[in-house]
Amino acid sequence: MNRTTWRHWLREQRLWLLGCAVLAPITFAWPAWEAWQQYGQHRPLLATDVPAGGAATFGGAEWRLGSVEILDPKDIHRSDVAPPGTVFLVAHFSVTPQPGSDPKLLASCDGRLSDARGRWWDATSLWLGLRLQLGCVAGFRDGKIQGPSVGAPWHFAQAFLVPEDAAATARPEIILPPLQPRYLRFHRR
Amino acid sequence: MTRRATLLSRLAAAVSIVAVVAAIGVMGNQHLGYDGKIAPFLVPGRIGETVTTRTFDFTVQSARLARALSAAPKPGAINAPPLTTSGIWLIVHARIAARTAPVRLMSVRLHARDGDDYSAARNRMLDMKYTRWLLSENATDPGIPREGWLAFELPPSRVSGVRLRVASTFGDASLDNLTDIDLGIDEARLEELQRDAADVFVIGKDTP
Repeated sequence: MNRTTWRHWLREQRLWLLGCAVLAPITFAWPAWEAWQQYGQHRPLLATDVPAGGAATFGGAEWRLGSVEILDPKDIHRSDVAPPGTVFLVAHFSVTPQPGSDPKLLASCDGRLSDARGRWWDATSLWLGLRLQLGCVAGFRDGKIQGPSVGAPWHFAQAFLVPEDAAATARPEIILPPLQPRYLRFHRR
Repeated sequence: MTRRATLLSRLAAAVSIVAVVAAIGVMGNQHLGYDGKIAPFLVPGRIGETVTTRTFDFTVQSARLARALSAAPKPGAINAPPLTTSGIWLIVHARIAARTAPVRLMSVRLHARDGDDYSAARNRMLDMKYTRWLLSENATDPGIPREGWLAFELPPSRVSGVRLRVASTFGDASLDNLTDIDLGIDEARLEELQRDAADVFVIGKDTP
């Protein structure tokens, strides 16, 4: 095929070629996107970073990280459950539901802790003997199960058992499973 | 074209077709079945070596036999009778370290030389006095390695050559890592282990 006939062929087939150029990537990208979305429904993949001292709106509520305490297990008489080289990290949060927020969505909240090395920890269910509202949004208070009301900040804490080397830099996170893959990641400094 | 040339040409075509069909047949036989496609990726190792899987590092420190099994009770707890068996208990002491996320061993089996698998004893060991020592009953967090025990009940005739297969995913650990750790129990070692087998091994009290 010489150059003239080659150009002629390209001109004649340009619509088909254009269609292939558009559709071929779509045939790969579309299922990949669907698979990624399905994968992300069950995993926190996209962090919304909240700067130290800041707040973020998530799931129709304003979330804020208050203080973070690092507790030596010996000080709270729990060295029986904490292996050597570990500490308890207690992250204090507040959440203020906004008008129209879904209490069930907020009650699905989970706490997590992650570090810069990609390691993460779930909140511990160990009894620490602390006078804190442990758990996430809903909690047992004044003898009955209560949750936050619109416009009023609700304070709660999450406790984690972590190695000492992670305690100084680890970032507390808030996950609302129905909103995954998005989640909040709070910076401490 | 002469008649001979035509004949040769047709013969060549026939041979080519047969060769292609045979090649397709061979390829078809080489093709993995469904079980093969979703099979776990075995990570081999030996007793004393650290085996690294996708989610955890695992080191078997010792393996021993016992005719009955008990565990150190918590102070004040009722001391139930030891767990006996019509076979023998194989008790493995090991260390697990989670890599980036909390890990729980969901599949814990001994793979016998003849291909049979024996699951870790769980139903008979649901008492807290056992579960606190068992690696199969406790999650492990990153940076906080855990040492503990795995207990298996199996016929004495199947102990020789067993390999430890553990995974952090359910069932057959499809498409995930599954350890394949040689516990180093050949016939000579088996005799030695049987000779040293405790009448009652107390988990949490007796040395690994």
